[in-house]
Amino acid sequence: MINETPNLEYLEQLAAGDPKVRQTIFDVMVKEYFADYQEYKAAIAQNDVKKSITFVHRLKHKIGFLGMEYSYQIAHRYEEELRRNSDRFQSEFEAVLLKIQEFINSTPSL
Amino acid sequence: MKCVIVDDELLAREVLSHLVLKTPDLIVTETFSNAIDVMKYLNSNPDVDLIFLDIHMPNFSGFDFVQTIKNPPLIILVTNDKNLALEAFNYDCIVDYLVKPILPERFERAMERVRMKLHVGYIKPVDSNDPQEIYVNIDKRLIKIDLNAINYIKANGDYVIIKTEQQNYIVHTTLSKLQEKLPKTQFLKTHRSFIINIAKIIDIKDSTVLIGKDVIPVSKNNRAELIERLNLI
Repeated sequence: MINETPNLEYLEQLAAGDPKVRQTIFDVMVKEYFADYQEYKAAIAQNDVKKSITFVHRLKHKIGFLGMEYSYQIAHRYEEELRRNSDRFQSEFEAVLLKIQEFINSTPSL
Repeated sequence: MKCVIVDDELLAREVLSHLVLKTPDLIVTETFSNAIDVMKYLNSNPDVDLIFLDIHMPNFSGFDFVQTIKNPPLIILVTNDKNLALEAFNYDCIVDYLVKPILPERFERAMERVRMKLHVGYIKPVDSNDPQEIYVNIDKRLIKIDLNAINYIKANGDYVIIKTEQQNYIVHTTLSKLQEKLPKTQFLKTHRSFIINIAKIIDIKDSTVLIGKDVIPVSKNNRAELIERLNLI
């Protein structure tokens, strides 16, 4: 697996040097990321495949937002596998989520 | 231009709102987390020019929305999935397709497409009460002509020539009589000898419009109405 770390290049592009915009969008991303993560974990625990697909899809957008192109592909493949009732790529996907959480926790304020 | 944003993800709505804010000729009138609510909104707000529409939404997808809505404004699809692009262009109202995360330059290119489409006179599909075709009497036969296929109609003595994409029809009638049978939302008299299908305009220069390869005159008296009917920026 490629060792990829999250970055805020896309957010910087959006904000174009405006710290308020950067902070606002980052806060929305973090809040929704954790909400989606909780829903995903609950769906997996309940073996609710449809709901799992929904939240993998939503988390995929956050992975793309954080510039993780390879990890985005992992998420995409995992989403497709879930549609076939397979859990292939689950551990790789969850490793990506762990990296994102570490990144968010180490970036308390912009 | 007025737009609405439809996406079940708050982050996507926030990013799009920010990109719209950076676009001087565009304002967001409302954002929605599902497609059902936007359908209700459009019923009471028909002046919306553009929808940013997420395809992947639970219960009612963006494509469900496009297939259901009557008289849609222009739509830019927004999604994570590049593979749906081909299906998107099956619909005339869909002008572009943005993949998340949306880059500002790519967003601006999409807006250029919207401006171009509005500039050349995108009109919402005709109301279901409007006729979709006319029957004309040619050599004792009633021939059906699809109104959407008509480029323009030209008066020629006691006859009119109906120019369609495929062929020309010469009909014994007057331009005024024919005009009464045509939907006013779709057709406009630009000159005493010409009625045009507004959706077929390629460009407008001075006192002429280009339709297909033909240059059609626009008289001074009709120019103001033509300009009014276009969504000029």
